[in-house]
Amino acid sequence: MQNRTKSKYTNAILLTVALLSLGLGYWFSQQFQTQSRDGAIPEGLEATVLDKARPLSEFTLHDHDNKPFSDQTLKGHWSFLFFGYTHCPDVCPIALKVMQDAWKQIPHDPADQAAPRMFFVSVDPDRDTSELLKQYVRYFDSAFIGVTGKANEIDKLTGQLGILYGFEDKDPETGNYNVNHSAQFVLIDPQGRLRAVISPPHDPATIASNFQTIRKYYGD
Amino acid sequence: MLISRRYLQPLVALCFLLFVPVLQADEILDIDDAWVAEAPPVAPVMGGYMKIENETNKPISITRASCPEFDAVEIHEMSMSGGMMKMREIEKLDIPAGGKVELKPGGYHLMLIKPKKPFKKGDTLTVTLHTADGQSQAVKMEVKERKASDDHQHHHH
Repeated sequence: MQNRTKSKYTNAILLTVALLSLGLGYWFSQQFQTQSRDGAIPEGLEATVLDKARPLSEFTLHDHDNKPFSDQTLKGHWSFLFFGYTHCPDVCPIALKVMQDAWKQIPHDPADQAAPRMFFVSVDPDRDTSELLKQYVRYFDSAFIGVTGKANEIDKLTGQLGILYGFEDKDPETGNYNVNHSAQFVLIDPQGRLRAVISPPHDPATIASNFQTIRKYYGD
Repeated sequence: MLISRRYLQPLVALCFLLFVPVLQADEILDIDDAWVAEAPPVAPVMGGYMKIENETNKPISITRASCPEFDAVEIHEMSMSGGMMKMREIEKLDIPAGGKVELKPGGYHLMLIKPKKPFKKGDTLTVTLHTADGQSQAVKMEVKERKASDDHQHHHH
């Protein structure tokens, strides 16, 4: 009788242990999968995802509060980067408007350390002062951050991201000049590596959902 | 109305005489949906858009645009070239006889340079279009907020 009760308990314990290890095993395998996904890409995205995220080499710029913005600043959280200039009547405000809408569709939990940040990098530092950049980007979202710096440091960043830009001649009458530039968003992962490139035409809902797919797939 | 029949015909004729030349002078083009995209108050430039239709049987070239509330107004064309969005000022914008041209985000646009005061959504401003044959037409434009879907190039799925 006692033996039977004992074996009943043993069975219950064994079953619990078996279920727990099954659960733990599954959890570990999921963790392992998330960590080892570098080398594959999720399907159905409207973004060019790099199967192997590309680390960025050193560069030093400054943000719109004149705080340093470097390859180190891009670590610990996801980052969207867009390259343009404030004298841009069409492409840049369109892109920032799209990101303004996308931003509302991406969860921003204050406790989420790796939540994305949006940086608008001006390739026109002669005209785009920190103050001008700050007021410009904040019109779109108070969380957006303007960045610029010395031309050679900008080139260090654009060069490794495949971003192109070039200046047109100055208009002799107005002194105005146009800047041609790439119009894609660049997505950097929390290890500070280039993970994806999102080319125009841009759609807010697609950017938001693609980002969440990429983040879930590769993990923080 | 107590207008006797004998006066009606001359009155109608007079109306035509008075208004037809006015219409011809001011409305060389049929313009719809003229708007300027609201920009950050510090923005040094703004983009303007409209649909232009030429209902005449002769092509019309717009060679210049002006607005006293800006330092300058330029007509621009956007194109994708060598991986970059290239913005180019054009000498003239041709509207074919009986045809239309749309200025829209990501395509042709007016670049309004250095506003003399900040413009907000709901404000209106008047831009004058000047044609190659020396005529001009005033276009009232409303400042409106951009929409993310303004970029008509987007393919819907």
